[in-house]
This record gives sequence, C-alpha cells and structure tokens, in this order.
Amino acid sequence: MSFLTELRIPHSGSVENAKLMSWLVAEGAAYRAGQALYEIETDKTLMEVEAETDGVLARREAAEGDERKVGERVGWCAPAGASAEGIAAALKALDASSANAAGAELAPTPPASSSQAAGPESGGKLSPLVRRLAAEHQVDLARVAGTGPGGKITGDDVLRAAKSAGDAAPSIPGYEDVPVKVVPNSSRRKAIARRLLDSVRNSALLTADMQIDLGAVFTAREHLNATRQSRGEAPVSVLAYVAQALCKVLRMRPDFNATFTDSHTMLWQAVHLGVAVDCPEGLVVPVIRDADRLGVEQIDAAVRGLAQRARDNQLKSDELEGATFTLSNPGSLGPVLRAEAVLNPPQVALLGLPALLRTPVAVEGPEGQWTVVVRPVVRPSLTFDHRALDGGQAIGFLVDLKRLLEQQAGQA
Amino acid sequence: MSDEGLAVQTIGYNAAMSQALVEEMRRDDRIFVLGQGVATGGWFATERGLAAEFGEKRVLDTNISEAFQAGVVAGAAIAGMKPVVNMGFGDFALIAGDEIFHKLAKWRYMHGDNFPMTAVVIFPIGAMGGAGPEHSGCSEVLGIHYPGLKVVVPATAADAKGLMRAALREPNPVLFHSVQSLGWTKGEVPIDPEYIVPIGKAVVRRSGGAATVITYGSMLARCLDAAERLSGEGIALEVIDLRTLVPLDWPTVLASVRGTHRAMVVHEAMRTAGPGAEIAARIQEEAFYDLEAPVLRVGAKDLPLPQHSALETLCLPSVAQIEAEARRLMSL
Amino acid sequence: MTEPAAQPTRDQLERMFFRMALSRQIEKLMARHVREHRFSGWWHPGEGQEAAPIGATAAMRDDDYLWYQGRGTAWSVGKGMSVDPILGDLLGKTTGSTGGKGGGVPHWRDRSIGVMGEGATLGSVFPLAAGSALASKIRGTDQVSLADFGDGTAARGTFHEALVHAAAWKLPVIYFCENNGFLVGTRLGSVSPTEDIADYAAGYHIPGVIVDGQDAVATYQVTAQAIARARAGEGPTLIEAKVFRRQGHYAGDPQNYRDVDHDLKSYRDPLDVLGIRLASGTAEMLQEKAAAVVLAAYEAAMAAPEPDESVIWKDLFYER
Repeated sequence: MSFLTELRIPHSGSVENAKLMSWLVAEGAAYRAGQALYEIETDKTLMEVEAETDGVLARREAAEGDERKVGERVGWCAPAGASAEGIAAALKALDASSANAAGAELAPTPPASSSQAAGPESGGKLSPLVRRLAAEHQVDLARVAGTGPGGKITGDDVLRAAKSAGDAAPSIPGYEDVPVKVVPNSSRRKAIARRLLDSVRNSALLTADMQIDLGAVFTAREHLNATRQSRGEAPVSVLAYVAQALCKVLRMRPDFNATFTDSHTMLWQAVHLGVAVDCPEGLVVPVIRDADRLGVEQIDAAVRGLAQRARDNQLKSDELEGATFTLSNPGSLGPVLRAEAVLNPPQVALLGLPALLRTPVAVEGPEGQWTVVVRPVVRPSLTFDHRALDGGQAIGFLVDLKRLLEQQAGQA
Repeated sequence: MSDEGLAVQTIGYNAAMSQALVEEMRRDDRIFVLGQGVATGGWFATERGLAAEFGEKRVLDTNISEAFQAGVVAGAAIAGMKPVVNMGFGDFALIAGDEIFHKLAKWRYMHGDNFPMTAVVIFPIGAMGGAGPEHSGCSEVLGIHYPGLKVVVPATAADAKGLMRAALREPNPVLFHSVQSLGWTKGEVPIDPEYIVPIGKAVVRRSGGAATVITYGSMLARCLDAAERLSGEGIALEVIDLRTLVPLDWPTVLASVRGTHRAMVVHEAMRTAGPGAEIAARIQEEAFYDLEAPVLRVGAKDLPLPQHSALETLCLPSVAQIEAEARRLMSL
Repeated sequence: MTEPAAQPTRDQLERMFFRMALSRQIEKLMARHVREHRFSGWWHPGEGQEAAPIGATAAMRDDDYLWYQGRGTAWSVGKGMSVDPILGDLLGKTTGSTGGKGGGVPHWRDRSIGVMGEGATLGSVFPLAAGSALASKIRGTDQVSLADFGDGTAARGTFHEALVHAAAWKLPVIYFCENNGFLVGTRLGSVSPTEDIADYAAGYHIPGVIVDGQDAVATYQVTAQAIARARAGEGPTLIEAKVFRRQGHYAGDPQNYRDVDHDLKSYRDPLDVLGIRLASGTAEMLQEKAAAVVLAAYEAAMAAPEPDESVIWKDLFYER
C-alpha cells in the first residue's frame, strides 16, 4: 500500500482526545502543503490540521463527529497528481487485502486476541441502533461517552445519556417538579474544570493589587499611533505597552517566570507570554514566544494575530503550549474592577488587567496641597503561588511594573 | 403439550425417529415407508422394527432409484396415501430433484388444487466422519428456495421424534433433514405416543443478552459449547435452535435480536448462499435499526468435503471457530 | 393376452365418438383462437391423434388414475372431464379446473374422476403413476393407473426406474406410449435404438403391445386387456399406440424437419376410422352436437372472469 498513505491525527503536546469536527477537503480533492484538511476539537481548543505535503485526499475514514485518539487514522492520502482511476484501484486493493484478512478469521487457527482492543475496526463508528436511538431521544452524539469496544458508542450509552438528560437532577429528591434544563458538560468544559481545580488545590494562591497611572503610556501611545496612522497602520493597544513592561519586569524578576516543584524551582530563561483570549467556546491562551525581545508594535501585532487565529480556530498546537507567564485582560470585556485569576499550571504567577477607568485620584501639588484629578488608572492583580513566592516579592514585582509604566516616556 | 412431568427414555436420535414412525403407522394405515434397505431396518436403523410389525406391504425396499423413490411418493400422496421415503443420503436426493422440488413441492399449486397431501422425505444431511463429498452434503437451502415444502431439522433425539410425528400429521410434503452425525446421539425422549414438536417453532436453548446465535442441526451442540466457554468471560450468548427452516420462526429470532442487538448464524452447510445468508439478510432488513453490528455467518468452507475425516474436520465449523466469531461479533 | 378382445357396446362407441368429436372441436377452436388472440402458454395441437386417448380411457373406470402428458385434451375428455373447465383453464379464467392457473401446457385436473393432472417435465409421469398404483395396491382396491407418454419420453431414466419396480412389485399400472415418431423436430430413429417402444417391455419381463393408434376401438381393446391383467394382480403392461402427428409440435411450428405433404398422404382421420362403425347419420349428428357444446363452452369461457391477483398465493400449502 505504498501508493496510499495513512492520514493520522498528529500529536500535539499533551493532547490525547480529538473529535473530528469537520472535513475541509472533499474526498478525491487535491490539496497543497499547509492547507487545512480537517478540524478537530481537543481538550484545549478547536484547531485545524494542515497537510504536510501536497497530495490528494483518497478517502475519508472518520466522519464528522467521530471521537478519535491522537495518532489514529482518519483517512487515506494519495500522492499529488494521482489520477482518480489510480486512487480507485489502490483503494480496491486496500479493501481486498483487509477483506482477506477478515476471511482468514474463518480458518481453524487459534482465536484472535482480546476483542476489546479492536481499534480502527470499531472505534468511532455509529451503529444503526445508535443512530436511531439518538434521533428518537434527541441525544447529541458529540456529548456521549462510548463504553463499547474501542470506545464506540453503544445503544446503552445513548439511552443512558438520554435518561440523564431527561432526569431533573441526579437522584436529588424534590427536584422532580422544578423546571430546570440540565445540560451535559462537553469534554472541553470538563477538561477546563479539571485543570482549574487542580490548580487551586495544588498551589497556594494569593493575589496582590496595585494602582497604576497610565497617563504616560497614553501620551506615548498617542504619539506612536499618530505616526502609525500616517503610515496607514492600525493603532496599537494599551495592552501591548503593559505586556512589554511586564516582560521587562519578568526579566528582572525571573522568580515569577518559573515553575515550582517539591524539590526545585525552574527559572525559565526565556519569556513565553501567554495572552488570554476570550472565544465563543471559552478561554484560549495562545503564546507569544520570546515576548521579551519584542517591541511594543511587535507585541501588539502578535497579540492581534493570535487573538484572530484563536477566534478562527486556526491555532497550531505549539502556539498553545509552553507559556511561562500569563497575561489576562478581562477589563477588555467590561468595567470589571478586579482581575484576580486562577493560575495556569505549571506557571507560578499571572497578571490580570481589569478595566482601565478614568478615576479620581488625589495628587499632591507643588505647595503640598492636595487636589483631586481624574486620571486613567488600572489596578492590575498579580495572582501568585505562595509556595514559590512571598508577598514581599509580589509587591516588589508590582512596584517595578508601576514604575516602568508610569515612566513610559521615551519607550518605544 | 408441556414437557414437564412427562416420562422419558434415553434413546438415540435415529431410534427416536423410528419410534415415531411405528407409533404413527399404528394409528394411520395410510402411512407406508419405502427406501433402499428400509425393510431390513434401514442403513442407519431409522426404520428398525417397522417391517417386523407392518410387513412388506407397508415397508418396501426399493432398488437403487432415487428419482423413482421420490416420484412414487409424490404419486401415492396425490392419490391419498401418506408415504414416507428415506433417500439414504441427502446428497443422493439431488438425483430426485424434479420429483422433490417440482412434483412434491408444486403439484397442488400448478393444478390449482387444494387437498391435504402428506409425504415425508427423510433427507439426511451432514458429515459423518469420512463419508466423503457425495455422502456428506447439506442441501437444506434448496427446500427454502422451492416453495411448497416444509423443511425441518431436528437437533435432538426428542425433536427427531416430535418432528417426525408432526411431519406425518402435516397435510403438506415435508423434507425431514435428519442429521447424519447425530444418528446415535442419545437424548431424553418423551415416551408419550402423542409427543409432538410443532413445525415452525424455534426454541431458545440458552438465554443471554450479549448476542443471538441462530443455529440448527449438528451445530447446536457446538454453539452451546462455545456459549458455555464465553459465559466464563461474561459474554452471555443467546442460542436459538431453529428446528424448522420452512416456515422459519422469524418472530422468535427477531425478538431475540432486538434484545441483544447482535446476531450470528451458524450452520454446517457451506457459508456462501447457505440458509444463513437468507437469515442474515432478513434480520438486517427487519431489524437494521436495532443492530449494533453486522450480522455474521459461520458455515463450512465453500468446498466439497474431502473424503479423509481429518481433512473434513478442517472444513467444518469448530467450537473454536464459533467462539472466535462470537468474539469478533462482540468487538464490532 | 389370451382372452378375447372386448367389444365395445353401441353406447360405448357413441360415447367414444362424441368425446372424440368434442376433442376435435376443442382442437380446431383453439387453433383458431391461438391465431386470433394471444395465448398465454404454448398450445400443443393434438388434432388427428385423438383415437388412442379416447380408446384407452374408454376402458378405464372413474376411480382409475390417469396421468396424462402433453396433448391432454382427448385424454381428459375421454376420461369424462367436462368441456367447460377445460376451456376455462385454456383461457385462464376462474371457471377453469385450476381456478385460472392452468394454461397452455395443460394442468387441468379432476381427481373425482381420476384425471390427476400433468407434470411438465416429461418422464415425471412414470414414478407418479407407479405411486398411485402402489397406493391402490396397499389400500387393497383394484384401481389401476395409466401413464400417458410420448415416444421420446421413454428415454428418461425414470422410465427404467419405474418399470423396474412396477414389474418387480407387479403394480397395477399401464404405461401407454403414443408414438408419433417425433421428438419435437427430431425423428425418433436418430435418437433411439428402436422405432418400437414396446421392445423395451421384454427387458422388464412384462407384455409389450403395439396397436394402431388411429383406431380407437383397437386401442380400447388392448387397454381393456391390460387393465384386466392389472386388476387381477398380474402387473404392468407397456402399450405402444402408433399415432400420427398431423400438426407441428406446437402451434406455429414450421415443421422444417419433415415433408408434411408426403406424411399427410398416410394420414387416417380417427373420426373417420371410428365413425364408420356408427349407424348412419349418427356421426354427423354427434359432430354437430359436439360443435355446439364446445362453442357454447368457449363463449362462456370467453365471458368468464379472469382470476384476482390473489390467486397467485393459493394452493401452495393446504388450507382447511
């Protein structure tokens, strides 16, 4: 079968489960290297899988909605330029050889080993019974866990899902007459829940806040954006300035760019900044690698690019892994006053930006008189793992950040 | 007729058949038996004791003449008698193809004539251990394909007797496929001279929820063995003994498959175009949306059976094969 | 065959003639019908071959079994079957004896008068007739069975198998061959070691009798003798009636294999052969009467209803 090659779900860091959401190339269609072939949903995100070389999609084996494990085959590819006849012949030979293998099972040789290790023969296929029951009970098969051979969904699985969807509450008396809609949790939600609980349980979370006046940043930004506008470029965001300052502080305080274990603390020498992006399916944290080497405009471009690709489900796996510190920006969603967060293990700290507000601030005048002026203020929250870091360190971190941002003048 | 409380004897399968013949010949003098060697008890003792009791008028030896044997039975049945013919070996019955599958099967239909026509063709099937490719065949699928005949296959001595009685009281021609390898297999057979097994009723020999195994004849015992072995692993097979192929007890089969959602057919006849093909096709037609997996079939290899008994064994479905196929069914 | 040949009475002769005329009228009418209408089935004309069937059946009782083949018209009419159901069957109407299923290769039957029916596989008749003969023997009645067949059919293995047993068991059966010298379009001599089927009888140690098949009375006589033998428990007889096939094998047969004109020179119409034995005017009167009966039956059959589709499901298994 060297004419046809297997199309297998690529490994992607720690991802194990992948559900094939949609095919992006038709059976029989040619594709180029780098072209997206299909889309999968993993624990972390929705992502497109691209072709590594030019070719022709000879056969789709997995259907939209099929659950697979990373590394499993979803289809067959033919070399670029392969003719339809050549592909048809190769597929026929492929089917014949697997039929022969099936026929050989009738020979009086010792029985095949465990039926449970069925793999491609059964996994992911929806039997007629399952399809009927899902239709009758209006069960979304994407949300059903399969307990059949190779993880296949069985009729019982569907009925169980239907029953639990129909139940008012799991064996809690008194809720039978309460109008409630019970929504089964998707695998993504479960994965997020698991991770967050782990994080909270396994780290000693504490958060310190500080007030930062962004007046200098605004001034610097105005100048830069005027120049950019004359060049026909979009304005950079305030976030980019904060991110740049943040990276400088991380360089000065590598304790915050680290991973804590029982025996060691790993002080990462590179700064890979995860920037949280809110997407319809949930929070996604793409990573800007070596963010400390980037200027404001470059950081801004990187953040915009990643955010767009995140919303378009086009992030590659290496863009989702390896962050050493996370910057979250809930203030962009609304006038939230505090941005305390849960850490992303194995990071030891996270900076959250609440809303940037025009706030009345007491300012000391030259003669010592105090007046109230309205200033652009943000109160970032530094959430940190107290196992690795002390309160004094956290305060010091914020003080450094404040100083850098309030002195913005001249920073490029 | 309930089996509970009936007095039973332990006798062989062929002996059970001859017992039914004797009892029915006593109560109905229209019944007579013919075939090669029947007057001396039959080649395999199926007619033991008949000639002694009923004489050569009602128990007739024929010459080597399978077409005549089956044709004379058709003529006698149309003329109002109740003849029984032993064809000797099922493979020889093909010599009487016209007589069995046109004359017996179609006579009343062709002539638009509705009258009771009793004729029992003992049409033994199956391997016996070295009898060879022209003495060991299973051609019961022919009776399914030529409408007008009823077709039965007893798998136990009790059913051999009960079905023979039913066939002799049936107002239609019956192909009675006695199983050659079971001829001497003993079983508990009710003594009651009215003990009857109705034509057209299958029986669940073993209950289970994992998968339905549909079988008959020589393969029943092997399926039960396989089911016993697999039960130790938590796979509970349900084993149905069809007993009748025409008319086939579809309600029992389909009810079982709708409960287990998996099915396989096992028979000694060759796999390709054997009765299992029709059964599998019908199950998937009628219960497609109740199936977790395709319907599988186990049958002999698509070959004439070799003469040498060791080679013959290679061609027939073994317990191990049935077990393996059941596992495969569970894995799909 | 030491007894003197039976002589039919005047009544018997008239009845034979009338039935022969009926058969002839059916033949003529069907020949016309097949030309004018579409006929479902293949019509095998038997015109000119009526004497043997009429003669043979005249020697049979109602409770004797007749298994006819091929050209069954004269056999069934001779045995006493009414013309209406025959025409009903030929035209595929509900009034036929088969309820509308019968057709060209006739399957009409009337078991109450021993017209048992026909199997289309030529030669199936040999064991069947032995079967009804065996039935009467076991039952202890003196019914006899008669199997009608053509010269070519005698080559079937079933002929041998049946005769071996009929002779060994002395079954009350008569094997009656209508030898017209043709198997469809093949001359008998090219595919048979003998032109006389009766020759085979000697091998089975039973009587073999050749008779002029165009002469109903002669046929009657030899059949009556064979029947007497059978009723007395003396076993089977092989009768060979030399008959003349006037038409082709089937309606529309161009008969390229024979010189029809030459052959027709030796043709003797069985109606004439039998008719001269009747009182003057009787033959014509009976012919007219037969024509009227057949025409009326034909018209009734034409007007009769066709069977409902559901007829295809009937008679597969016994319905009480």
